[in-house]
Amino acid sequence: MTDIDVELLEGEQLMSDSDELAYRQVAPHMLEDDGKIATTAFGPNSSDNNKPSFSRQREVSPQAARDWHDEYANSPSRGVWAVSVGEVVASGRYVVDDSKCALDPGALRAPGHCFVDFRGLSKLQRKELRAMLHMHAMRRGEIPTEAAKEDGQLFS
Amino acid sequence: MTDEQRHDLKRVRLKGARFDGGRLPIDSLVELQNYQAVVRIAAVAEWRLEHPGEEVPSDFKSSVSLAIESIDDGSADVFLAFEQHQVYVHYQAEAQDVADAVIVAAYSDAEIPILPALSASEDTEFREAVAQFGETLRPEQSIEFYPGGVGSVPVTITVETRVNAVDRLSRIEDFLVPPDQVPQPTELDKEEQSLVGRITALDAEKKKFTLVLSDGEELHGRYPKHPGLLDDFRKVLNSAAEGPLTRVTGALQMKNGILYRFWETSRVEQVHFDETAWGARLSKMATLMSRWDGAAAAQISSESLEKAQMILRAVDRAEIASPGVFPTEDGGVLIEWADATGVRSIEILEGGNFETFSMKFGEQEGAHSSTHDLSVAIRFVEAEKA
Repeated sequence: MTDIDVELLEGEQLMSDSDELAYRQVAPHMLEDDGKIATTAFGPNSSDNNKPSFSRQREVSPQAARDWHDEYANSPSRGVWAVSVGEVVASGRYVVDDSKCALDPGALRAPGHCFVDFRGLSKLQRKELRAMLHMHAMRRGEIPTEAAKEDGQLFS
Repeated sequence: MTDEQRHDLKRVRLKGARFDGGRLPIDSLVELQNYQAVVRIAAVAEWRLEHPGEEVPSDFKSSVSLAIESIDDGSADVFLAFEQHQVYVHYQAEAQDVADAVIVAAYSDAEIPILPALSASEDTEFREAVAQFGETLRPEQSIEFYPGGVGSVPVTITVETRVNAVDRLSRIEDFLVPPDQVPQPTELDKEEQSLVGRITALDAEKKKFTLVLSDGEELHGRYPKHPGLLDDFRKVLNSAAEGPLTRVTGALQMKNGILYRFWETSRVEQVHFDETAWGARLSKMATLMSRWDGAAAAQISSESLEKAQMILRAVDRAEIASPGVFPTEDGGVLIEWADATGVRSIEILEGGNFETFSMKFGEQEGAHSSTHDLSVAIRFVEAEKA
């Protein structure tokens, strides 16, 4: 996967600061109790059109990104990991800021939303890309955040 | 008539001097008509759930007809049977259960079930019909109504118990609810789906069963089009504590997004995993419903779970590091060894085939292969030890 084939839709912008991090929320079914994280946690899911959601470091803190996810996503985050724009580019793809894209009526977009572009990749290429992202994220380690407190809970 | 012959009958026992000697005064027939009216309304509700927006067939109501099968000596012990109308028999059976549940609830402290397909006015009509049950009774008389069949524990209706039941059925609190907040009739969503739990009750006559899910929730289901499933159900029937984990597949109905019942069942399989940490993990995956990822993920197939168990046994035998075991959105299982230095994985696809993959940090391409041969997949696992 050495050739980078960039094709952006209206409103989409490439993120160009190679040091900037993109935060990824890891859902419960992608994390085992002993801390093993599935490589699939860094790839697309069944309904994101090959645009797995990340959050821009420049726009939002990891904690704020997690809090937003916990409030609006279907399942809570079990933790935050990250890849840099440079690591994604080194893996043969790119990160897209889609905050200026039009939203469907009633749809919500997380603050600082961006995505790693898996569009147009074969199944094997998707497997390779998420494996590379996983390895980079594991080298960096978990980004410290706290789970949202339940109603009435004062301390973690 | 033996108890066995009475299995399909509804027993209503009228007690009091007026009924001595098995006499059934003409005015008591009203009670049986009342029960028929209740079941008819419930049957219409069942029909509408299945056929949203359609007109109820003109012969539907008349098809739900009760007949007196026999009257025993002693107090008037009346056995009622429905005249079976093959086309509508499912609705009639369901309606009878719903009607019985409402009668039981009205005469106990249980919450009175709501029939989701009824409009507010039809719901009122339904409750009034239930409330009229026992209206001909006088002091010292009673009706024993056997909701669960001839030998079940009866609900006793007397002048006294009726007072509270009628009050509970009147829904006086509804007058305080603004019209725009009155619940509207709902429609059911139905889709092919599997659920895993334990079969705790079986009614071979009515071709119905009860499935208890892992969270303790009870779900009812039917298998009228697949009577051959009876043997499969019998093999797994037990208490929720003792019964084997069982996967039931069929047309699952959801009411307002909440599990409601299996309208029709097509497959019953015992699910058995090893008593290991892997077994517990696979059991958990077996219970995932469609869209378990909050998006469009498929249920994890029995084939992939079975093959995953075989691979994980090989992992244990080879005494290699524990892999991560994860569900995949396509209905398969991903077994992988992944850290900052590399990734090795076996993906068991929904149909049971294997895809192996390996990639080291710094590489731009991974090595992959595809096979349906379990021994090839196991050799890939064993190579992890090297």
